[in-house]
Amino acid sequence: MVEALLLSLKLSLATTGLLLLLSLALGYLLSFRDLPAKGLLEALLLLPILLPPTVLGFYLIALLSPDSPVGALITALRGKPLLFSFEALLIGSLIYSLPFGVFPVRDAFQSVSRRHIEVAYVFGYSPLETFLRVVLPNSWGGILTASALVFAHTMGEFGVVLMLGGSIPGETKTLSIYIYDEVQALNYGEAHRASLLLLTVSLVALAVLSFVRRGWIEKLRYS
Amino acid sequence: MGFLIPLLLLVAISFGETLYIAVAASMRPLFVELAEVFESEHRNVEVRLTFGSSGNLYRQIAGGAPYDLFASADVLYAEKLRGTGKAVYYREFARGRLVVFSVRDKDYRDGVEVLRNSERIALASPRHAPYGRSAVAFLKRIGLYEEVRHRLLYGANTAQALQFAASGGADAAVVPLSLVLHYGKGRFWEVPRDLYPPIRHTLVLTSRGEGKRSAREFLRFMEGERARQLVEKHGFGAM
Repeated sequence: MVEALLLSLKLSLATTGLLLLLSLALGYLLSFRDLPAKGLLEALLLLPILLPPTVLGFYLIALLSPDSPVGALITALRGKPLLFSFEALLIGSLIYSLPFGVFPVRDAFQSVSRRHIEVAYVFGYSPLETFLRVVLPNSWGGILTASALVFAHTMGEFGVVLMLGGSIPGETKTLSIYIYDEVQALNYGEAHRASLLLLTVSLVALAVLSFVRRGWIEKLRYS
Repeated sequence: MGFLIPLLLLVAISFGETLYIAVAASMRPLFVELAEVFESEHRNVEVRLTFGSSGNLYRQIAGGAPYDLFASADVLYAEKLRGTGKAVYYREFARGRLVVFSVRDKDYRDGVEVLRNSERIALASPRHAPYGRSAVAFLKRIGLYEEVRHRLLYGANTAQALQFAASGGADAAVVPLSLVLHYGKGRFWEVPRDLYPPIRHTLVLTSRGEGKRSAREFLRFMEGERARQLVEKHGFGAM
């Protein structure tokens, strides 16, 4: 059970970290750059909310399978197939939680006062400086919300992991899969304990993030 | 200091070999015990088990999943894996026994009567679980399939089918004897052998496990007397 919990935490933290970087980049593009077909791009980024995890899992299997061209290339580069590994889960989780990372960050960027940005330009800040010294410090709320959502969504992820993972202890058997497995084995006591653990850890993590976010907003108000 | 490096290498080799075995859900209690006994005899090997329907595990191994051994409930999957070079060796080691199981407290004469009086009957999905296929073959053989086909409830594997009936969600289940023995509650009626095609449990050495010493040792262990006793104790017949 501890092994499954650690794996879930590892997957959630890795997903949150990588997705935040991706969300900062995508959020910046969506907020401050003129892109052709921006509406279509936004719709595409929202797609993982619409898709059942089975569809996402199915196409990732098709893509990553050693029989497909992409999968064969990865297998050749890595020396072993990507499917049924931790990295496969990470790829699945990144796509599955993408909208939960991108959209809070985009909204935070867009709600930064235009006037502040223009003032920064007047002071001769480059776009990068403006982003780092004006946009980013005013967007921590949205970034923390995105982190909390992505983290919680990945902790509770089940369908994609079931499709891609194969329930290998220590590699792809996350806590939610562990619970599924214990219920099937009729070990209801263990399933109860693991469920309680999943709930507690997720709740504590979210409470801490919420606490940090509130503290940050208070500070912003008085500064 | 020079002697430390070969010493460390020796330690690294003799410890930390992990053996990954994919096990059909019908053999879960058996392999949990087999793994315990094997580990106590081979202190340097750690056995990690993964459970699922044979068809699902087969699909994973065909897709490159890192299992060294595969205990399938059907020889068919072993043959397919060898056909594609994913398996190098296999051996049939036990015959599965099918039972009708129920937790309902009624006095039925036989399994057929149980099934006839059940609103919901659980079985493993015949699409990818050998016991599911055997259960359907049995229902067809006794001429009950057409009558009950709309009352059938499909689990992802035999363990889930049993869980449906054990939780009372289904009135009866057609499942392996081994799981019912392990569960220890409820009642069961064994289906006569001649009413369904033989369930041939097969142990497969995958191409990945070929080079692993512990995989070979486990195969040898499975041919021994101790393993044979455990196979029998858990409700499997001899081949």
